[in-house]
Amino acid sequence: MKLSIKLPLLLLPITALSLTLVGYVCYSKLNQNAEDKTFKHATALQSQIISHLDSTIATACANASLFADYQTVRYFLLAADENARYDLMQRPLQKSLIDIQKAYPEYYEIRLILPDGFEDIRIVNRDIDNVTENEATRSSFRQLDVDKDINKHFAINPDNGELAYYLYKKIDLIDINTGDFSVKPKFYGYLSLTLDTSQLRKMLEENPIGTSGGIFLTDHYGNAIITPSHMEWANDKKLVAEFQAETVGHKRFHKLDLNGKSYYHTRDQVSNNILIHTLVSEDEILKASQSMGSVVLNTTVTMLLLSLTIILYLLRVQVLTPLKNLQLAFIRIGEGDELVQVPVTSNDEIGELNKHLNQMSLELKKSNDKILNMAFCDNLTQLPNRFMFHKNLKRAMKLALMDGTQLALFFIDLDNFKRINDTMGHQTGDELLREVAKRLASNLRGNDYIGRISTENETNHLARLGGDEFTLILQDLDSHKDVIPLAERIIESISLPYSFAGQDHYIGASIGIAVYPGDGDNTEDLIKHADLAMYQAKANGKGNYHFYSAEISNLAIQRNKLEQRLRKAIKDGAFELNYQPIVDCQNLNTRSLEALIRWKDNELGLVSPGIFIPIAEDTGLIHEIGAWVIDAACKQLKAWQDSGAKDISVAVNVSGKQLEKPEFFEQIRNSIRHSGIKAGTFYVELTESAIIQGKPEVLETLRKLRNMKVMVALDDFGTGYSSLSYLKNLPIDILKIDRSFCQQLEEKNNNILLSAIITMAQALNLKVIAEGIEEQEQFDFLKQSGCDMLQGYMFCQPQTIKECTKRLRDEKHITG
Amino acid sequence: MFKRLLVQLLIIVCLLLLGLTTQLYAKEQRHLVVLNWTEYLAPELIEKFETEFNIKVIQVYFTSEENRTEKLLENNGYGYDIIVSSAIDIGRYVKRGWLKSLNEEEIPNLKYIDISWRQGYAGAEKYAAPFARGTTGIVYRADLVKEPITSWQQFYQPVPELQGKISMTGDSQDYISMGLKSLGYSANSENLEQLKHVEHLLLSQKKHLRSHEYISVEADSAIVKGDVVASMIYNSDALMVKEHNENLTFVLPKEGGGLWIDSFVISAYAKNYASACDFLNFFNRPKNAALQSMYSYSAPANVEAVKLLPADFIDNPVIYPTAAELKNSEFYLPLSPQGQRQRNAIAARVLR
Repeated sequence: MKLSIKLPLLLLPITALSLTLVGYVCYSKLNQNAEDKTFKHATALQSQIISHLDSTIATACANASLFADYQTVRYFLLAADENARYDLMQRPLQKSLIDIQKAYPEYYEIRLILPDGFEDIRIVNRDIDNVTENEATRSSFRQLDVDKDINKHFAINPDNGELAYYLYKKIDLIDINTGDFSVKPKFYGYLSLTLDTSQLRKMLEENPIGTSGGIFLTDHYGNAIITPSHMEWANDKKLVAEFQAETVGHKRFHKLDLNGKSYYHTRDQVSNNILIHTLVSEDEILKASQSMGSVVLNTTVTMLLLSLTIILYLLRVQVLTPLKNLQLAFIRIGEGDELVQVPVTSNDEIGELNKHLNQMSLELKKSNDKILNMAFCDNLTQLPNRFMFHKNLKRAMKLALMDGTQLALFFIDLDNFKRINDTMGHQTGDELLREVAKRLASNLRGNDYIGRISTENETNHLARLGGDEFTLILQDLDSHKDVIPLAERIIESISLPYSFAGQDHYIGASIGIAVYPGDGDNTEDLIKHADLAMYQAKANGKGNYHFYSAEISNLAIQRNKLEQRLRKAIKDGAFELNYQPIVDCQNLNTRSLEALIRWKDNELGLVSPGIFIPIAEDTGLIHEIGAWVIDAACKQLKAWQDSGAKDISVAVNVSGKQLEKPEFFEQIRNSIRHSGIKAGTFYVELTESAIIQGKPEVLETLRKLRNMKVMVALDDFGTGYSSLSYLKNLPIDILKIDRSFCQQLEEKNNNILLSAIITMAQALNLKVIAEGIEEQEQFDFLKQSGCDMLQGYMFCQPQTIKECTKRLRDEKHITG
Repeated sequence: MFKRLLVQLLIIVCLLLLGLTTQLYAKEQRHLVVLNWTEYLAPELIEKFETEFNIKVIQVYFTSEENRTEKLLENNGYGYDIIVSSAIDIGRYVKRGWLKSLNEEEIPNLKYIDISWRQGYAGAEKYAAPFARGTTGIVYRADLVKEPITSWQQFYQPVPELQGKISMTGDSQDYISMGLKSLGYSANSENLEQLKHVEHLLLSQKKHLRSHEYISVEADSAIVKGDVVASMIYNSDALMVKEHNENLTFVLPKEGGGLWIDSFVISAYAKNYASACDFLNFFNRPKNAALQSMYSYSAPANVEAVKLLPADFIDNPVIYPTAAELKNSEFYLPLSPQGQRQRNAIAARVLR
């Protein structure tokens, strides 16, 4: 179950339970309070009424005693006869009673009642007719206790039908007229006060408890004395029975059931025959608390909803959402998003968790970066590596497509790097590559080309693919021509000397340029095409740049085809050797024959070695081919030697690649031995580049060849960088001057240079062969310069074995 | 011997001196207490009596007949030498034993009193020395009343112009009896129906009354000021108060008024019986009686005094109403106890 469900499910009952509990406790407390309060209120009211009644009665008793002692009363009662009584005594007595009544209007009836019940004087302060003057007819009067000083009771006043409190003060007198004071006082009558109960009723009426409850008075038997009008219902026989069973003076309400309803009752004694009751229906008491209860209930429900909403909201805001964010963050981290930072908004555990997550993500990012750096960066130059380059290129192409701009991809290959790396060691090579990277980068900072290089990091545009191959992506171009100045500058800056350990080194750069869109739809094509363009640049002469074109591509296709055919040719042994004679300058006799490979393919026709040899070199097929050439040449030489041509030697071109291979020497030796040729008649021609680096292994191989009387010729002299001084340290025997020298004798003082070379070489005890002789002037000059041997069409083109054999026969090298 | 005589002589002298001073002191203390209405006895006569008999007259005033009885009851008749009482109460006081019978030898001037006056009330003749006679009627302000008042009926059932401006006596005997008369009954009626009738009348009149106190005869009287325009009054008082305003008019209502006789009586407990006799004798000297009569505007009982009265006094119909005018007037008569009790009850209810 999800937390967002689980937590509310957990919180809901807890909150609901606690709030309900609070509500219930409040409710029952309220009930209790209401009952207590009502009880207190009731008992307070009761005591108020009791004290009112008590004090009223006590005052009335005291007053009655006082009034009874009035002289006018005495005179009146002791009057000798009725005449005296009514003529003289009554009026003054009436007046004093009226005065009393004016002072105590609540004694609304003041009477003087004779022992026989005759109501002799009646003073009332309201209009109440007297029903009878003979009180003896009234039971309440007959019930008076003559032995009591004061009789008092509640009774209905027959005169007005109202409840009244009656008080009869007994008057005992000694008749002073007799002059005998020793006699016992005689009972002369009562002074009666009739007390108004309206005040009491008013108190009861005005103090209802609830709407139907309140206080009422009964006698000892439960007969109603005063019942306020709103409590008429309380005059119930059953209630009376209930009262009787109760003890007086509870501390709490006594519960009664009347007619199926619950009532609270308490009672107290006023005077010996009066009870005061409080009767309230339970509903009334609890009404307030019940309405309060419903308020509590409503509040509880509202609070419940509110607090749940708040809790859920807080839960969502404080816990769930942060958790969700955290979860999403984890997912993002899991999905490999590099840096995931969640906002730390709270100080709680989640905040801590967020902090830790951020920390973790940051660490992860750092190590990821490190790994990425390692994965995407070239360790040596800190430039993006091949992988990164691909990515960058892809992105750049996408951008270019979107922006409708062009981008150019430079494929930069260093010329001669290999040689330096081989001769100076890897450390220097690495150093050189770092320097090249620096120079490339610094060149990018110049703004002499139009286009955006880097708003972020120019090294993103530069990359090292490995070895001496660099790439550069140039974006936002309007025209592909915009990159030309940069290409030229790169070439120029790369060709500046590199100084390591006090020594200057020179390398060059060839740049192939492919432009997108146009030169490829995808990265692979674009890279391939730039690469091809670079080869083309190299082919056009090193230190050059070249834009990709479809022709180049065709060349590449051809080259591919060639390679395939070449492999087939090797398998099928489709090569044959032609030989071009090298003649003696003096007599033009053939001195040696240079074996030249000839490949006539069934599909391609005759393929020039200038085309397929580089391919063979690149593909490594050169070793097989080279081995076959040496072997074939040796066999042919042996054939010719067996035919009599003992002084003819054969030269075989050996590529640098072959020379580098350690097995090369063994291979030559085996071929020579197996062929059984005459020692000293076989020699190898090497290009300047093959030996110029002066690799110890290569030099060692050359020395071993020479020890085996296999001479070494340096081919194509004058095209590279080798100086004459350098020649003396090389283990060579023959110097072959490149055909370009002879063919351009008139230019750049080539003739002077040529003769100097010849002189110098001869001084170094080297034989000199000039190549490419086609005209008489060349021949004349070279003869004059003292050149040892000559080669060229002027004397002979490369010839088949048959033709060669014929020529040897013609020149009498071969007899028969 | 001589010495002894001397001592005896000294003692005698001392005793004599003591006796003399005692006698002198006693003489200074002599006084006569008279229970009386206010403004009733002529002051000059009192002064004359005091001078002549070297005695101080102390007058204690009552405000109504009932008030007099109350005062007497307070001390059971003690404390007074002479009491001025209406005829009807004299018999009651006598029964109570509060009065002393009069001795004509001690009061020789009693002989001037019209014997018929003295015999007017049973049981009173030996005790009373009547000195004034009058009627009970109405005084009203002729200038403030549009319609002249001629009947009790007008008084008991006042028209609006009188409402709130009439004054009643405090004596239940007067207002109940006159009330009965206004209804055409006898002033001494004991008929329960009539009494109920009059009670009803009194209760209905009560709300129109300004006062239930007997009106003052002084210059500051409410009727002089005009706060009251009609009042029940004794004819003598009406004439006294008229001295302050000529517009006051006394009328003996056509239903008839009350007749009264005031007498001097001597208390049974009189401390100064001799002087009391002197006082009665003094006031019954014809000249004094005439002076008293003229002072109080009441007809004297003294036969000789009448002869001394001026003609205009005799001719004043207020003082001497004609027989025709008196035709319906009545003296108050003793009532049966129950009758009296009924009236008392009515009075209590009216006055409450």
